Amino acid sequence: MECFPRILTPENKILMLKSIVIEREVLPFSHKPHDHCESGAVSNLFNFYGLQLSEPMVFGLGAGLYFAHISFIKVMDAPIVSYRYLPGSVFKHAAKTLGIEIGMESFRSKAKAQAVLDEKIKENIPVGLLTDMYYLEYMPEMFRFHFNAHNLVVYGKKSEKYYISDSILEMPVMLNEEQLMKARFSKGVFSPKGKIYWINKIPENLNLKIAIKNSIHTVCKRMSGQRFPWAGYKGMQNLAKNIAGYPIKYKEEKANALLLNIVRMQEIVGTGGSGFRTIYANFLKESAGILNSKELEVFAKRMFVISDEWRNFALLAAKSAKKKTISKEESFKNVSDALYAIADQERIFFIELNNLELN
Amino acid sequence: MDIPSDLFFLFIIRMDDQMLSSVLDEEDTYMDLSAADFAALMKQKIEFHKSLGDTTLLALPGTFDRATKSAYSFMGNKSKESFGIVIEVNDKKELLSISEAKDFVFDEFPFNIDSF
Repeated sequence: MECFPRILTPENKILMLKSIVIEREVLPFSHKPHDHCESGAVSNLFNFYGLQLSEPMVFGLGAGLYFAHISFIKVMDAPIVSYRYLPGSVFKHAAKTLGIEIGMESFRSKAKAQAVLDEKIKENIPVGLLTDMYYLEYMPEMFRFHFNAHNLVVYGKKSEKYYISDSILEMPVMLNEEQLMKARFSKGVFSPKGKIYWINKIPENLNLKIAIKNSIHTVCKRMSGQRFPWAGYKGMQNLAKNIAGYPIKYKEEKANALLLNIVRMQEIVGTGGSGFRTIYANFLKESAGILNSKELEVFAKRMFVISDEWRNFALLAAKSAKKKTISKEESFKNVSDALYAIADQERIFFIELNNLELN
Repeated sequence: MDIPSDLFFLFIIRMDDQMLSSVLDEEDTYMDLSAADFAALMKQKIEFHKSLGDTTLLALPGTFDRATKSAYSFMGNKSKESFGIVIEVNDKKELLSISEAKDFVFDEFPFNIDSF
């Protein structure tokens, strides 16, 4: 938003935008494509108010990095493997740690959900929405599948069609009321319930340095903590144990499918590669510059190495699922061993990062 | 073809030749090429697009075989050059064929593709 170089409160900005909006009919919302839908949507929303934060910075401030393997909850017939924290948490944590006032609402009534959305658009407030990708008809058919935690930004409406900034796309798109309603009220795990979020007020003097330190601390606690056996490094160890058992427990086809699903979750689902580790390494690198910390720069480099290890793990897992020439027990054991090694690396990494004094 | 189609598509979109190669069936053939030769061809095409400044490939629907068949092909996000590979999928999103169909035509795009 080169026209508005300083951070503005939404109220001030709305006044400044009024004349522009009359001319253009929709807000001059700057759409930028990103790797991950939530941190991309939030980065674009922040940027709208003049708060220029990169996608990795938003993801890091949102304490988005995580690992969870919950074998007793299944999505698409496979146990949950997640490389990030809960949907919606990036926006909430980033806003909270920066002192940004936000609004957020879920609905039972579709009519109420649309009324609130239209009201916000009328007030020239761009909003984030949670949706099911399957109903987003601007997506080519091939890429439409049920995923209830897809974030996008709505920033205008004309002739019953909404202007949408979906940060995984190269350009803004449009969607009609009926299609958007279906996407907002889909059923299933993590049903979006018409969830909508927006920014109320950005403080004039926000403290990025403190926010960075808080967010790093949150991730370290979650990743190295002992609380849940399915989370952090323990979750990785748990998954590693399960992988070694897949060829014994399941038929070959099912075992291969489970392994490929891990690759899918890690490399495909908006992670930017290596299960969000590459994005997080970039956050640490950017933060090292802001905090002027050589030590943190070293941690960023270490996270890039870990990110490469995750990529090697995905390559090994995909090849093991496809390879027919060696025994499944042997190849799955190799994949399992690779994951145990990464779990150990991350355990040490987050304990040491948590102990780092950041000024 | 026993390849997970979503992974196959998305590794092309991401221009990730290494991961793309990892999901090929080593005993299968693709466009009459062995898995290794096909992987080398894909790498060559991806390198070409990188040299044009593309950072991702856009997967877009279209038709080929004198507009009788629907399929997907790819276009560089900066160069707008065609990737030259056409992929057919069925209703279950399983891969049916991979070809270099020369007469592939992208569907009309509802937005100005040159404006992004």
